[in-house]
Amino acid sequence: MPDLLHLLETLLANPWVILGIKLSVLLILLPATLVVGYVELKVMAHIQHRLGPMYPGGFHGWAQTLADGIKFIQKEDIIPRAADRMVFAAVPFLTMMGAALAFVVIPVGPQWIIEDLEVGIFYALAVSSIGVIGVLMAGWASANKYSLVGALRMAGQLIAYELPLVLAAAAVVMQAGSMSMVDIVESQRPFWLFNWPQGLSFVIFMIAATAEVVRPPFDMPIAEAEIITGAFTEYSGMRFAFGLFAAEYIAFIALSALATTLFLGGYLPPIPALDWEPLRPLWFLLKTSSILFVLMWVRWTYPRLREDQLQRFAWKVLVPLSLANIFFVGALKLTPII
Amino acid sequence: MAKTEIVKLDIDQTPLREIKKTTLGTGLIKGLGITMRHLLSRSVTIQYPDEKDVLPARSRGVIALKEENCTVCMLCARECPDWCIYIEGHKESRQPAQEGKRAKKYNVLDRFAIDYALCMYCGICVEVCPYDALFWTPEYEYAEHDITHLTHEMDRLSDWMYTVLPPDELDPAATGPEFKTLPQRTAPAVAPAPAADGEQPTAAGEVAAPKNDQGEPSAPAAAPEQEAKVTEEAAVAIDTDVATGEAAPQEEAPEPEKEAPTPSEPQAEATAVSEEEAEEIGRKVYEEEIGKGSDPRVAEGRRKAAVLRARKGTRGPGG
Repeated sequence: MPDLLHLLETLLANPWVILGIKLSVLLILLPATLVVGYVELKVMAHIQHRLGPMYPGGFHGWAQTLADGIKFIQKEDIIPRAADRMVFAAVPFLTMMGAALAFVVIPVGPQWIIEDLEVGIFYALAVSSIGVIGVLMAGWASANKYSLVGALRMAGQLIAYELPLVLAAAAVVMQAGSMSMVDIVESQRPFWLFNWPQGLSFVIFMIAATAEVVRPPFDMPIAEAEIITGAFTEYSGMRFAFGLFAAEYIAFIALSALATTLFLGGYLPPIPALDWEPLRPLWFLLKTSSILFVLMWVRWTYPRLREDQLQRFAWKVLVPLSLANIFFVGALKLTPII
Repeated sequence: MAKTEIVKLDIDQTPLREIKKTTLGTGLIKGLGITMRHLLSRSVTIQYPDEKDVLPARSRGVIALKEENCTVCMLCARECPDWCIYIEGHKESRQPAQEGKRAKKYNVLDRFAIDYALCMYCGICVEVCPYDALFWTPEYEYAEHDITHLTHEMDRLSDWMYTVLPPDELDPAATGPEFKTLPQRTAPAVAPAPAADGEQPTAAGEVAAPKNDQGEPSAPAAAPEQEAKVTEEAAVAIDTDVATGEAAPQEEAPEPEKEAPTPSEPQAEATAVSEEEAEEIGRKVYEEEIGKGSDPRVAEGRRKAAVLRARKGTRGPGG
């Protein structure tokens, strides 16, 4: 066993292997959206006493999302005549890029990270907000009133929820004394499974993150019953699949991974005895998937909020709460607990 | 200005304050609990083309025609709200049995068709048919690419006959159909018959009659009890008749009522066969049909009907 460990260590010291790992993170990302999408279909179906996809691929319809993707690629790509073609076409790149860039700083293991930036968390939150520019562009470029309403709702939602999201993350940064993601994870060593001083930050972060990725109960920007698909009403085929679905799921995974890193001790195992280097990505994946599951569970439990309820909740509840939380963490910082 | 009044709401004697007393967020947690419970419970989906639900005998899938029962009375076609039934027929006359008598006239069915593209499955035609020529069957797989093919002509409608299931057995707990007691019409007729003999039977008849009068307009729920009472009363009447040496009159009114409360009996006397035997019978019927050169679907229908008949030990409406 020590031989194997030694081999791994030498491998991880090799820059080419590291590059391969970094590439594979991106190559894993797209298939991961398919997997998460498939799991979501199944969770939704079983909550509603259905079976969900059962045929594609043979075993329990595992290839459903893959088949959906292929179908989207085959579909006709329609750009409305009144639309601003350039801007319209650029949208999927922006929305997907914004979501995918956050993965650069997420540590799957202390070595398993594309780039351990010193301003890691700052960078992650900044790039994850790029997507909204894409959505705004889609709204303007589509020359469609539903698109515009959706885009403006999206912008309003982002402004409202970015604040509690950043304030919750700021509390974590205060505790860790560093913005580097690896440092943040390591600072949680004494807490292992759950970083309890950040309990409130965790709740605020999860609520704000759900609003940030526009998932129910905060999906007013794409509320089909009111504004069709919001900013993406005019999109079809592959542009729709990448601009909306892939971007949403990548952002969904990114924010779950971020929450894992900030609050659940990232790649650290639940008990110190299990802290073995090769197993660390496994712990990370386990924690991230459980957060993904909880968010899916929440999605199929609560109905959509109204636009004014959403805004009131953000400004009157979440923002004051996160400010109080910062005060609380600051007070804890004066004690020897953290 | 309307004066605002504070009304204390009582829901089942529970003060409103107690109903509202919940901690913040318990509703959210409860909701999550409910969805989790549903997530873990079994799915109810039936994977349709692969597995099929067993439909009850009274399902309204398609309407079958028992051609030989149809008298071309046109009631179904006239009652049909969608006018989707086509009937054509002509009159024929049979030679009179004796010379000089009038020829017997009867209707011959030429065409009977139901346009299922129009049919709304209300079942009025089945209800209204006085000669039991129309039946519901649970079959539902007759979708077509061409709408005109949804008009089923006589041959197809008759083929459906082989998919008609025998009706479900009556619920053993059911009270059964209600029979009205009609003895007061016959009771006076009974009374005068033995009147010559003496006073007693007449008195018995008179005692029975008022009881029945009360029984008739009573509520349906109370009817069985009432019936039982009437039967007892009648028995007393018969006893008195016997005691006085007179035979009970033939048209003794309460007699048929004794059988009334047991309407679910007829099914019981039929002998049911085992599952394998039923399958065996079905297989024989199928082979016979194929040997005759019937359409495989018809053969399958006849096989199914035969199996069901054998299994229930009854003769279905088809056979």
